[in-house]
Amino acid sequence: MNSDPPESSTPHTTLTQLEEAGALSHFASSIAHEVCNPLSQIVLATDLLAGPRPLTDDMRKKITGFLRQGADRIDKAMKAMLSTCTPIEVGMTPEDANALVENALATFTLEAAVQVEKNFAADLPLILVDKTHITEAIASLCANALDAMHPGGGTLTLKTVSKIFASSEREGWQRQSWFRAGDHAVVITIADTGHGIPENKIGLIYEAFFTTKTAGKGAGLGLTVAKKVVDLHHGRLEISNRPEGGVLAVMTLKSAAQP
Amino acid sequence: MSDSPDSAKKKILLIDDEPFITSLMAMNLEDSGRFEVREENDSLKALDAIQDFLPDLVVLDVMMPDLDGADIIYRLKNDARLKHIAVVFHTATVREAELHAHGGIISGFPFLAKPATTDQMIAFIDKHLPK
Repeated sequence: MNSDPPESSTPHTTLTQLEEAGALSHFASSIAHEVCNPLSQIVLATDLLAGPRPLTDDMRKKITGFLRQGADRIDKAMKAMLSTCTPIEVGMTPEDANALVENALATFTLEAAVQVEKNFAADLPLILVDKTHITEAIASLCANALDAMHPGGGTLTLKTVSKIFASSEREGWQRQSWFRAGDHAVVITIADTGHGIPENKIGLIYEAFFTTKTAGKGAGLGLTVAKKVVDLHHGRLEISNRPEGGVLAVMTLKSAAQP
Repeated sequence: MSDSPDSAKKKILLIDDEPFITSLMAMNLEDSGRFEVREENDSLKALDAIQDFLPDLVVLDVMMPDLDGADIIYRLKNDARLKHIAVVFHTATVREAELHAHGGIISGFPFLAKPATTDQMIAFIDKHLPK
């Protein structure tokens, strides 16, 4: 009789299953949070319309706004959830990283209280990327940086630099590195002077629906999708708090031409 | 709407990072004529708000930035001046079916699942207000 435990109960598999169950449970709770809160808003607004309170036109308009805003949030959450679960298709072309960062920045109307400092290397090699997805990923990092500096303002620093890997550098827990000794890459950094990420939450930043933003200001999917996109490019995305305050996002992407 | 004299009204503090929810819930509860309601949307100010208002009952959200509902209740129950105050959770993170399975109580605290109607909220508050 074979007394070996079934494959599914090996420690590794069990741990993986638990991790998957945990991730699924977190995902489900997050969806519930993103949908049930605006749903609650709609139910309570409906109660107010049906209740005894005499309503002025202004009041009625405000309640209608609550209803609309609640419905919009649910719509946004469901679309964001679908986009997270849908496979991303990439079409690679050689691109100039500086132009991608400029294009991403151009999608924002900057507040007067925000200063932008650009420090772009002039001699960057081209990177082989999906232009649309990588631009959106950079824009997502910029959006987080700008939100973190709202409303007080601050400095958004954008920097590009070329890099040649001296050795295979693993990314923390990852089993493998996409970068080997001698690989050429471009590093894009986005730094802000905002409130930073609470240290006890930094391990959660790539999880779908995790957000440190005020309710209704973000579904918490930007970094999840950005990480997914960078992973698809066999690149690296690292987010950390800066010692002087604010957040530093570092995106490393392989050059189109390798030696 | 049948107003009770102010002194007879029960004081309810709503703590939730969603201002639209607390605003609508406050108006609905006040329209019953039975409650004096205050709102707090900043979890970091929750304990100060409790100490300042000294409510009969706190309706507390679970998932909030900075301090979540569990953090707040831990601090409340470790504060000798405030630990007697009744707390109920109002949350989007549990399903009604789960609550029924546990008699509406999880970890010793009453939970009400979002979305709840005003009638459900009032019945829930009535059930858990100190007698």
